[in-house]
Amino acid sequence: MNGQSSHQQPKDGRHDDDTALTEFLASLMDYTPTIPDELVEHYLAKSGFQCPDTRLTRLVAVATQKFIADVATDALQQCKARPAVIKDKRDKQQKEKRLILTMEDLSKALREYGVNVKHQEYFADTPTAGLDPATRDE
Amino acid sequence: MALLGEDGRGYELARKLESQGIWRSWLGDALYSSFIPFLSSPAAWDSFMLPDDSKSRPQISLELRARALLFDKASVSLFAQPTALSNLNPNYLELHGDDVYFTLENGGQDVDQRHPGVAASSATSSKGRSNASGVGSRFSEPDVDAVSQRLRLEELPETWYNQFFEKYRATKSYTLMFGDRDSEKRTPEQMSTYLSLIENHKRRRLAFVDNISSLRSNPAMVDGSPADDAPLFPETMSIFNCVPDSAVLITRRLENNQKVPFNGVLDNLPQTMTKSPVMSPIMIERLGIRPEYLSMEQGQGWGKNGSQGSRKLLSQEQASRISQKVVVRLLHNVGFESSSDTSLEVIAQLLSSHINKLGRTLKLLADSYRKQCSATELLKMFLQTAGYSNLWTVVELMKDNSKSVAPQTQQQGLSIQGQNLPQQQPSVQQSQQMLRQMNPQMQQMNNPQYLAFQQQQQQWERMRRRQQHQQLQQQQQLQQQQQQSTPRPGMNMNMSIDKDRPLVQVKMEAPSDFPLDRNTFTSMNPRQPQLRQQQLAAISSFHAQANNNAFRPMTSLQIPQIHSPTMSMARAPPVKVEGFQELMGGDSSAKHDSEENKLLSPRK
Repeated sequence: MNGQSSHQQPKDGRHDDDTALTEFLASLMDYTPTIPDELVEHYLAKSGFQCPDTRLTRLVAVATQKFIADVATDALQQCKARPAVIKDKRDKQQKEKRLILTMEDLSKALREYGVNVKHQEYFADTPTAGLDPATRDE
Repeated sequence: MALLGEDGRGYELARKLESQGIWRSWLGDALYSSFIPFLSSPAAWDSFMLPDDSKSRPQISLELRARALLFDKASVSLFAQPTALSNLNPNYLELHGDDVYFTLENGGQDVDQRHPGVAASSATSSKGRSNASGVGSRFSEPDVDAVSQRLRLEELPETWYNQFFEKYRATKSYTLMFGDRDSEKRTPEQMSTYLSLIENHKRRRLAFVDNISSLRSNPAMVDGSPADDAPLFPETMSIFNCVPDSAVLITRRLENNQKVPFNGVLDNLPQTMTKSPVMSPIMIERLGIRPEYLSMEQGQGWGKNGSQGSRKLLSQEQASRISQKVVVRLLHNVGFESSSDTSLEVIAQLLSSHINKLGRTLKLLADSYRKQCSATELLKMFLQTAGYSNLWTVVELMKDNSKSVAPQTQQQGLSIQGQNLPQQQPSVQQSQQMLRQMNPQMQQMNNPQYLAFQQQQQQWERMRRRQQHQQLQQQQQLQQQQQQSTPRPGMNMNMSIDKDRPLVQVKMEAPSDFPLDRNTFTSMNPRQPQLRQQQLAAISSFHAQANNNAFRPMTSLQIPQIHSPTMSMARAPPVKVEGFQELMGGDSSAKHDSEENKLLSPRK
């Protein structure tokens, strides 16, 4: 694994890290992330970062892809964990449901990441809606 | 200022002004008579110019007025190349009324006759002289009024400019200026006339002229007679046909200078020597082939903002649309069949915000630590900040997804998988056989992928051996604890790149659903490092399943193949895991206790 980069001396652990990183960068060029380079560059430029090296762009793309995949996976778990209607007639499949990403699952998943997209549970049509009846009467 | 001489008193310049009779016009006859003795000798001039407390106010006023003209004429050496006094254009030294901007002040139309000094005072103040008399009502400060009164008391006449303006206002040409506005239009002929007029005017007023150029020039210019040198007020004479001095704006010239190629600190990441037969290091050196990851010339590509080559610029809407498509693809990869509109938008915005955040981090790191750290160190810092210091997880993701790009090899991998999975023999040797079987399959993949792959397979071998020991030890325990229902685990080994410490993860879903199932708990692991022991103890008895699951990322059972028959066959009955609640640590753990939780992959 350390044989490829000739300018590194893989004796230190730190150098191991460096070579690992270097090779990872090399492998990035062989892999096309799902997020296209132009899109990543657009958003990177928006935040003020420019770099002609495509490897960095792809690194950011892969990192973002991982992040979104994590979020989506968590949401999928939430979706699957929710008990669904059991159809008694079909004995083979106890649970049949389509995996649809809903805001409910997504908001639960995103909460772990510190993003609050929770919908309001209800909307009040008067200022006193939902208040304690005792206080409402006052 | 070179024109003032070495001592800065400007005696020579004053003499020159005197030779043209300028002092008389400037000071007026009365003051001139008291002024002229000072010009007789340098010593007298020095005593005149030297600030002295013993001087009376009229003397100081006179001195100030003389200084004003002197410095005004000498100030050209601040902007031009300082040459000798002899090169001064005599016309330049003359007094010109159009040196000062006054015409459009006070409206132009209603010339205020009640305050003749108003415009003039503002004009003189525009020259920065504070000794102007007749300041009048323009400035309401009482001290200025007091000064003006004092000046009037001492009978210092108005400055030459004031007198000039008054005379000029009275002339017909001034009143005519504001008469015919309606008939004036902007025409090319008048504009070119204006340009030639301005050109001549400037040439006449040049400060420094050589002898040669003065000979060649217009005789009218050499004359410098007042008749040819009528005051030029373009703001009133050519209201509609004024043309700027230069067609090229100054800002554009500055922009052009900025096309300097610069290298950011992250531009020179370590370049790898690939063993690819196409792009060998020797070829790069000899033929100058740029590595593929350096997209284009740095100066050109970024200077012209991507107008060259294949770089596309995206608008805001295009970017949001593309990000939504990307999100759809990612969701599909993860396992979702469909999604609501709102969720899609939310995730698309999350994607863009995340990229923004990573970009900000990179920029901040690069700007802050440009001098202290190398590019590699910066990259490591960035990965640490972003939470990807464990590159293995990202590498896995890449390998998983790259398999989906190569469906042909995937099919073969799947078929092998399908054959082995239904057997469910808890033999580790079989898993190794699988590994070996897959090796020939892997060889059919792209070489670069295979290279990286091979490294990982070696790592896998090491991991597998370690895993075998653990499994054999715990197999007996789990066979006792084995229960009938519900799904779960597999075992995953997660390896960090720098150390070979295996982090065991427990899979919570049916394995076939999650190609990224390894990554499922990657994020959890750092959060709950203390649960590692529990995880180790919670290894299922379905070792085959575990092994198969562990191999799945290698063989990439990807969602595009989710409908294949092998996938449905591959599903193994789930197994409950000890300590599941602690592992999940939350709401979802409660849901898995019921018997409904035999999660199966969706039927297509």
